[in-house]
Amino acid sequence: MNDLSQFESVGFEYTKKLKTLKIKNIDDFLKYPIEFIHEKSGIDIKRLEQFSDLFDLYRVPQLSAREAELLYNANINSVEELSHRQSIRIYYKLKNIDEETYFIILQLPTFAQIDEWIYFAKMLTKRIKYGLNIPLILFPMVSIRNASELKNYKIFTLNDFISKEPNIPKIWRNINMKRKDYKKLIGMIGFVKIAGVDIYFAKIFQDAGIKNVKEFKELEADEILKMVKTVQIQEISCIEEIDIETIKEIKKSILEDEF
Amino acid sequence: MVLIDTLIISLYITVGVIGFLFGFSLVFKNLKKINRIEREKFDFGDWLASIGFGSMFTLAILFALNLSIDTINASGDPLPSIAGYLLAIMLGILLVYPLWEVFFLGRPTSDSVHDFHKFLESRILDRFKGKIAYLVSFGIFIVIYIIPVIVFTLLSTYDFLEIVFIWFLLFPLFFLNYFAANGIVSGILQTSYRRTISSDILEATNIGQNKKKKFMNGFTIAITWLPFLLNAYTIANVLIRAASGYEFSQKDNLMGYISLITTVPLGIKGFFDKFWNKKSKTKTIDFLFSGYIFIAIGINMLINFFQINKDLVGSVLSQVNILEPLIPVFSDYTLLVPIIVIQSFITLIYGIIIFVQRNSDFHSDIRLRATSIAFGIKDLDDLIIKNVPGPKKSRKIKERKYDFLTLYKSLLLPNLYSRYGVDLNEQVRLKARQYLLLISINDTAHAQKIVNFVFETSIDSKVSKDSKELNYSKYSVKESINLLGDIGKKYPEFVMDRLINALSDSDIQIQRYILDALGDIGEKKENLIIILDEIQPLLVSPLYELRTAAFQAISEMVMEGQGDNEFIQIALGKIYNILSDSYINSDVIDTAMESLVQMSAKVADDLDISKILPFIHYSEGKDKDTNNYIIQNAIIVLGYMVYYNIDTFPLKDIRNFLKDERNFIRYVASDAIGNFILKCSDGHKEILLIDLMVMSLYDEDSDVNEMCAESITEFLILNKRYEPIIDGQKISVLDYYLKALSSSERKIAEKASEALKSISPLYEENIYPQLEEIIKKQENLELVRDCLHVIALSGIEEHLSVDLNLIYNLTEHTDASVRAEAIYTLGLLSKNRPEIDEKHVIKLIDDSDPQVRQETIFALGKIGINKPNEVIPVLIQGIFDIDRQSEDKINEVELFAESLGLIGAEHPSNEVIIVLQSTLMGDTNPFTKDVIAHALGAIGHGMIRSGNATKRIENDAFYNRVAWLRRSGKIEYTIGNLVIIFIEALQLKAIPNSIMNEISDAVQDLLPVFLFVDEDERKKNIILTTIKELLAQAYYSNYNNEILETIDRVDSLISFKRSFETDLTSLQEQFVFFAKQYTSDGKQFYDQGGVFLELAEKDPEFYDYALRSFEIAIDLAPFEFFTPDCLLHMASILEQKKEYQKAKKKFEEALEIFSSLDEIEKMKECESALTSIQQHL
Repeated sequence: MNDLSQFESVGFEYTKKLKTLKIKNIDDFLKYPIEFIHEKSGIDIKRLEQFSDLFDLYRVPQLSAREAELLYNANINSVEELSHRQSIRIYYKLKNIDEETYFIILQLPTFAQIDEWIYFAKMLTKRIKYGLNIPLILFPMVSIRNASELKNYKIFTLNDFISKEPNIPKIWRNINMKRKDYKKLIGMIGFVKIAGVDIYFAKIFQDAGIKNVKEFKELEADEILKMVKTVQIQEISCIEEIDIETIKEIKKSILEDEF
Repeated sequence: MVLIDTLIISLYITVGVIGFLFGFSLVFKNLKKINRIEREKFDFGDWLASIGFGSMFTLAILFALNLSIDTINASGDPLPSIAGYLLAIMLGILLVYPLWEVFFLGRPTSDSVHDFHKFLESRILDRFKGKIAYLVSFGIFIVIYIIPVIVFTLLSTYDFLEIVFIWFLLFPLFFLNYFAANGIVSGILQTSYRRTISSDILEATNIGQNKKKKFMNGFTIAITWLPFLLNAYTIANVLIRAASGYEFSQKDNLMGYISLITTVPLGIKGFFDKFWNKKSKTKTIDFLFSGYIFIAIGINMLINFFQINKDLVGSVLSQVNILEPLIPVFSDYTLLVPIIVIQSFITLIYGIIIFVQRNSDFHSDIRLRATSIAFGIKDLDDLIIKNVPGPKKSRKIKERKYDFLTLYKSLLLPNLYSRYGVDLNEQVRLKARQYLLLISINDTAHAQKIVNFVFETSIDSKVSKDSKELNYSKYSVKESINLLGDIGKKYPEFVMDRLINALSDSDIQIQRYILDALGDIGEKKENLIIILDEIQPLLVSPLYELRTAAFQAISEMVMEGQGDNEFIQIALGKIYNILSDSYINSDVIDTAMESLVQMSAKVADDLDISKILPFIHYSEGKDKDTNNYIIQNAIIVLGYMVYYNIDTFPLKDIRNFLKDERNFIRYVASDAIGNFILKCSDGHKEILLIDLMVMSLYDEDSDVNEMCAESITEFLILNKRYEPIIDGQKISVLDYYLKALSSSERKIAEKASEALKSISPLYEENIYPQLEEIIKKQENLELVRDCLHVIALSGIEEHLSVDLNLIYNLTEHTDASVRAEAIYTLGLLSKNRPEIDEKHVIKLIDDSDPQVRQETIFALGKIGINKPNEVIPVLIQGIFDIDRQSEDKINEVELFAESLGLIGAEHPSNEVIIVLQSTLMGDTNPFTKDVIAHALGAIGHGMIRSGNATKRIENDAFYNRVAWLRRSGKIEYTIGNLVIIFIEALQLKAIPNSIMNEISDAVQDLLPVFLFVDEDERKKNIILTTIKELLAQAYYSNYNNEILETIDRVDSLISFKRSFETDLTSLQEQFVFFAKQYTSDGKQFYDQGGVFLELAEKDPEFYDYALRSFEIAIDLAPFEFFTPDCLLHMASILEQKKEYQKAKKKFEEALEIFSSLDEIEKMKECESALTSIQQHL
């Protein structure tokens, strides 16, 4: 699912070249800077940038490798760009590609389908503090490979995960996730379910040593603040500083949820 | 005695004749149906299959009868017997069949009956063609059947013929027991599924079960287990007795009887259940294989009877001389008891394996079938309420009894995932939902009961949280709540208030489902007002998904609901309130704007511009991105509204946005300006056009360049030859870009060439000389490529001027990208230059550069439309020679198929169909098969337009290389042949779902052809129902949801047809409702309408069918890319029918949507139609 060869533009030859660098899948590819891959493999930097853009688009839930390539060919090179597009425009671009080039599009996507892509692209670019429609790929421990496997189960967002996970025994194994990472994910999901907490906050809490909501609840607000500050102070660019009021708000939300 | 002998002989003759006729007619009828689909005559192969199966079936039956009579005969006097002769013939078939079978598989077409055949075909035989393939087939026969026999003979003390007998018998017996196991387990599972209903479901239904019923259920389940236990007994018996010194050489009557029961009646049952009824039988081999299995059943009886009556078997063998070599086999039980035990072992072990695999397609299919049985309706007439005027029939209509418990159980089945992540219960839930809806739609009492059940189990239990003793939380409720939405459309009084009441207390997931259901119910005005009031709090919910779902519900109501202005204004009013009341809440505004964008295409003329204007400079949100989205969406909405608000359009602001630093804002602003200049006053036109022209070349974002060029193109379509003044001089837009083409700045020249692609075709001036000049200079290769591209995409004028020799020369350029572009250009030129010499293209088919190769195949597809005889052989040779398995050749294989499809669509030919069929069914990379199916589908559409496909290529040199193609027996291929090919392809294993989807779509697209064919009044819809049967059989051999969708498509078509068979509007509505129920995808109806339009060219009656198809398509998808096309087609048909008023309305509706899509050409078409229709009003 996460194979590079599934992208027609990567193709057999480049896949072979990348494999010599032990880059077998998208996650491997994303581990290295493009310049490094260029130096070691000799693949043209523009080509590598193209791959990078494609893999970025592939993060969009509900988008297959082929659809990501279609969008790339329609000059949509990033999730950000996709989030600002209109389905109608994309549809007509794809139609032109189909008619004028050798790129084969068997079924043009419907407006509704493209709207879904755009919706999810938007979800990938936003901070979501309320609700559960968070694409799972945004969780730091979910790799592209994990997300691809989850696509099989039609699990794209946290909402899907919460409703379907109880029916899939040992899901972590099916999606090729380490047990340790899975536990961490479950802890983070616990945080994100709280109104006002997004993935960034949840990650800060976990990095500060607060593994889950239960631990968060047991700690005093001042104590949490101290722990959080030690993490945030080390950040190169802090997205949002967590203050005592925020922590108190979160504690309040936890109590309300329990009630 | 003579009398008895005569009676016995008469009995054999009678049974023989009846048996033969029965077997013969089974196949005869089946093949007749297939021939009807394929429009073929009953040929030699068909007679062979019918007579072959009839004979083999009769042999087995007579043999069984003969042995039974001899066993029963207590008198001791021998009765007339033919068993020996029958056995000799059966053994002959047993020995000859395998050889015939492998040769049959060596044919170029795919003929496998089971997985082992498939393996032989795809892994070995498909790699060879012609005589070599048959030689390899013979080799396979030697390896599988002869070598093992020789080895065993050498290693054991048994004779060669004894080993031959056992070895040749083992193969069909394996299949027989495999079928038996399938039959036994499916019986157990299906009975258990229907007779074990959990207490919580019983509780919620109030149906209940008394003790007697419980006992009967338990008893029935126990009966289904019996065959399994008998098999277990056979194995256990041998093991236990072996432990106490039993030897195989001893007789065991009971074992014989049990084996007889488990292999013969249950084997036959399993065979019919799991093979005959569950495998699409379209070829001779399917039937002869069936006969082969019956032969095995017959011979197996001999083995079982040997345990019961040894002397009887001895007398049979001594009856005919050639059977004597077998006498040693039947001298003791050493060889035969293991055969009996092995059979039980296969049944038991395989049965256990499939029984415990709960997460398998097999189990899921059982649940699906149980659900269908629970519904029990095969004919729609049983559901229809016929308020036919006139005297009522006195006969009391018997009330149908549905198995509600099973349907409820199926509706709520929890998700169950296969190892590939497929929810195996999804289809079961969907079917149950569909059936419950069909039941409820014409029966108020049932509807009320179903609604109560769903509320009890799916909503109320979750709201009140006091039903803890009932474990409802384990169920999946999405489908059940969707069902409420469906039922609520007809019976809002049962559903709407309860849903609204539940909304506030439900959890977020349920709330989303409820909102979705309310969206359906609110399509009626009286419901809309109530629903809007109730969902208002959710429109400002902090939870994104809930807010979106609430706005989505409104969008759905507006898009799919009653289209009158009052209805739309009520819905919009609610959104306006949110926009003003929650102005500072950026998240809410963002979602509201999103929904307005979605609705704009339909309600652009109803929107109040003053409500949108405050948002084009929005900055209230903390999050910059959210503010940006709001501004962007506000501009998009204004872009939609501009035609209706020319005077109030905020031109100054939007024009300023053209200089905005945000690319996406410039993009939407240029779109809005582009729309504005189409209708604005002349005073604004020039300056704005110049803005766009400058931006199309100088903006740094290529999307903005493109959008500007597109806007200019649209402007020029409506304002031909408009010339703005730049630097004091009038200049044509075309010249502006031609000048830019020679710019020293590479980027500018490139952008100019991009713009010229769409702009140059609008001018009569021939721009070829300028382009040729640049190409000839060859100073800049990128520019040469761009110019070639512009030539390729330009109009007929340029095409006719092209110096082909110049392009031919470029096909030999040292730079691969230039070669590729030259080939591409030749391909596109071929439309207007049929004289293009294809040899200049063909020579590059083996180019070292992959892009050149791909462009070559693509170009050949275009050139071949004018020169099919020259190009088809090249493409066939290409797809034949290429490594079709290889991953790095996928693109090329796909292009070969696509190009063949493109040519085949214009010139359907036998050769193309055979090659595509062979690649579709053969060992081609599975990821290419969707394109192959699509190509075959394209040929199907070509056949609709031009008739059937026949042999086309008369090229001996080609046939000498691809000799196997020449030998195809078929003279003519019909659309029916294609459908049969697709049905066979649907049974291919290990094909990804996306590929299956394409194959299924290809067959669905062709199905409407069979809907209104001339047919026997007594056998209505015989072709479609046969296709449905074949599809159902295909489903059982390859569980795939796409096949189910195709089956539903057949039902939908039949319902659609029924709507034309009555004049009563109420009945018509019901049939249309069912048609939509079975297929709820508007695109399918759009395609269906397209097929009817094609057929209408020969028979105008099809216009009515097309009209209704488009009507349903719009109903199901009020705003999709095909919606305005549907309206346009409808308008044209209505105009043709001289229903001018209605036609006018449709043209206007189409015009409105085309405007929102910026489809200028279509807008013009509508406008001119509206002008011409005016004279008739």
